[in-house]
Amino acid sequence: MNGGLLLWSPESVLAAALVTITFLLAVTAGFMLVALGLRFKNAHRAAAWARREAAWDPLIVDVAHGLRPPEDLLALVDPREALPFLEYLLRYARRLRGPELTVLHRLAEPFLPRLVGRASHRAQPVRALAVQALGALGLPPYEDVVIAALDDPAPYVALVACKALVQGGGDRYLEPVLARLHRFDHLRGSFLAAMLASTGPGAGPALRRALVEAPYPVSVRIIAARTLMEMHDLPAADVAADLLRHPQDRELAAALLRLLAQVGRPEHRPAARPYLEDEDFVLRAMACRVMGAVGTAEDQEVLARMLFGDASRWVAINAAHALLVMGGQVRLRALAGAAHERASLAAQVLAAVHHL
Amino acid sequence: MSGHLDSHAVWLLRRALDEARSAVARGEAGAERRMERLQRVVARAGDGPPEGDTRAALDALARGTAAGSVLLVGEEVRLRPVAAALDPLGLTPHYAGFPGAEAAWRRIAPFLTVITLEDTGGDGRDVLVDIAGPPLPPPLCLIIARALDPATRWECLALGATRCLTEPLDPTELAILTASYLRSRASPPPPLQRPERRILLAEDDAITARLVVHLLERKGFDVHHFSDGQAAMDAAEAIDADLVILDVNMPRLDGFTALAQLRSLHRYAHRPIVLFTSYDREEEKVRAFMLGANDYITKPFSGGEFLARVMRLLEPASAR
Repeated sequence: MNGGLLLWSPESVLAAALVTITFLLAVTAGFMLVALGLRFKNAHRAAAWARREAAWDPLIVDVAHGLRPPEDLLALVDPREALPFLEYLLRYARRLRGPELTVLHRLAEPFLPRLVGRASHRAQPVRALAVQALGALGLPPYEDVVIAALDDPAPYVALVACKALVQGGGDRYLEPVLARLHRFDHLRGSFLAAMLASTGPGAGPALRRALVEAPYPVSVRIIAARTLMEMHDLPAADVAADLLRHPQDRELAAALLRLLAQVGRPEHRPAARPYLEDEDFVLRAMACRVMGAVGTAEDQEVLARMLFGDASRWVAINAAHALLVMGGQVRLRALAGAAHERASLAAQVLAAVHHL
Repeated sequence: MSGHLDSHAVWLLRRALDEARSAVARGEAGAERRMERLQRVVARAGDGPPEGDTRAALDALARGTAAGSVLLVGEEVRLRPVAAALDPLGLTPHYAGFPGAEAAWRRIAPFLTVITLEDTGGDGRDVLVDIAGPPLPPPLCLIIARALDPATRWECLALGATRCLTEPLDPTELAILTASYLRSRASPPPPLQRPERRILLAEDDAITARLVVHLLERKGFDVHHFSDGQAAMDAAEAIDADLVILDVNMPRLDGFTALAQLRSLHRYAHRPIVLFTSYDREEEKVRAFMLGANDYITKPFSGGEFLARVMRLLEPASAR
């Protein structure tokens, strides 16, 4: 008891408090020093980065436009600055094509081997940046590395590789890209279709093959159909019509009908017509669109019946649109004036067209 | 220091001076000499660059209307492959040792000087200071060496060398380097179109804007750049541009709206307007032409095609 009182005498309490406060102050000061150090390091890095770019900036545009030889700029790049320089070039590579892009490839060439190892780095952002730079500045010499990145465990890196191959190689790398496209099922189809369509009309044959061949998953075949539609690929209509003559997955059939509505010809009408009576309202609606593009006067009767009689309003709207496209404006106007609950729908379609 | 030097030369000199100061502080052998050489170049920077004759002679050579000379400084046996490589370009070789290099350079006025870095006769960097250091750069000055460490390479570039090459030399590379350098240093041909035609550019991406402005200014256009659509619209009347280039995706006012507003102005009702965008879909292209665009250029772009389209739109309507 006495010992305890002695231990907690006012002097010892004060001493303990002082020690604690000193310790806390020291820890706080330590944290502050670390924070200041990191801030200083970052500022120093940013300044070094700005200095480097300030040296390259006066030359890059002249060199890219072929007014000065690439060697003038390369003379300013220390081998230790390879990675920042490649990132710098990447900014320009995204904005240029043709001869200017070829010049950027020449500028990047001596430094690209440094990126090969980074394409298999354990950190995902490092891998992604390496693959992006190799795709933008190193195709075709580094195509193996970029194609291998399509199988990267991280979907983001795989997508970067996919975009790099499509943008940097056009239709040249379409086969490996299509073979891995199922990895991006979670992305919007319109995004993937726009990306593939940017490869240009040369992609048509590979996409038509993807549409037909069973080894490709349905999701990839749907994207192929959407892409062919965006590209207005006329030969794809024959392929789509052939496929529609046999039972297909619902989503794929809808994509094929959409494709036919875009590029179909009158001879494709028989392939699409049975779908006007399909039990699935989506397929009926798409078939209405196809009839609008390739149908005959006989189909106008069917479409008019669907406008008034189909259980789905969405099918009815598509039937009204199809009638309009087929030149049935007078007929549609008559239907709009009829005493029927769907007459207002026909009036809406007419009004929308007049508004345009 | 920067009075007569371009930013490239100033940057090189600053870097080499920093390195030389560090080398002096570390007490490295030869560091004092390095510092002295660089300081001589800095002190001379205010003397002003030579113009006139050198420029005219360069232009003549680039046009293929004049032959030129090349001065080869150092051991003749090492420099013979250089002379052979440059023979197809019509350059006449003159050999000189280190002691007589400066006098030979002033007498010959060469288009190209090639100096061996180190020989029994002395140090090529001393010759470089005498003949190549800013602000007296010859058109092309190459240093050749059997081996080069980074510090020496930087020093040579700061002293005015154009390139540092290691032996054995690739004759084709040397010839291409020389030819492309001579071409690039020649004055640009006079612009074909009427000068001072004004172009209004609305583009929010700084790098794209830089590339486009540079491209158009090289062709003699007076380019007025704005980084958003509203600012471009506000200035459009005052600028009275001959042609307008609009990005689509911009802050404050997008390109489609700006296009529609410009078309409603009397001044721009019939002036060429180009949409310049990364949107490549049919809907956007149709919309642009429906709103009155004269052309639609997609990004990424190539300079040649871009200029061809712009020039075509600036031709009189009767010539199109």
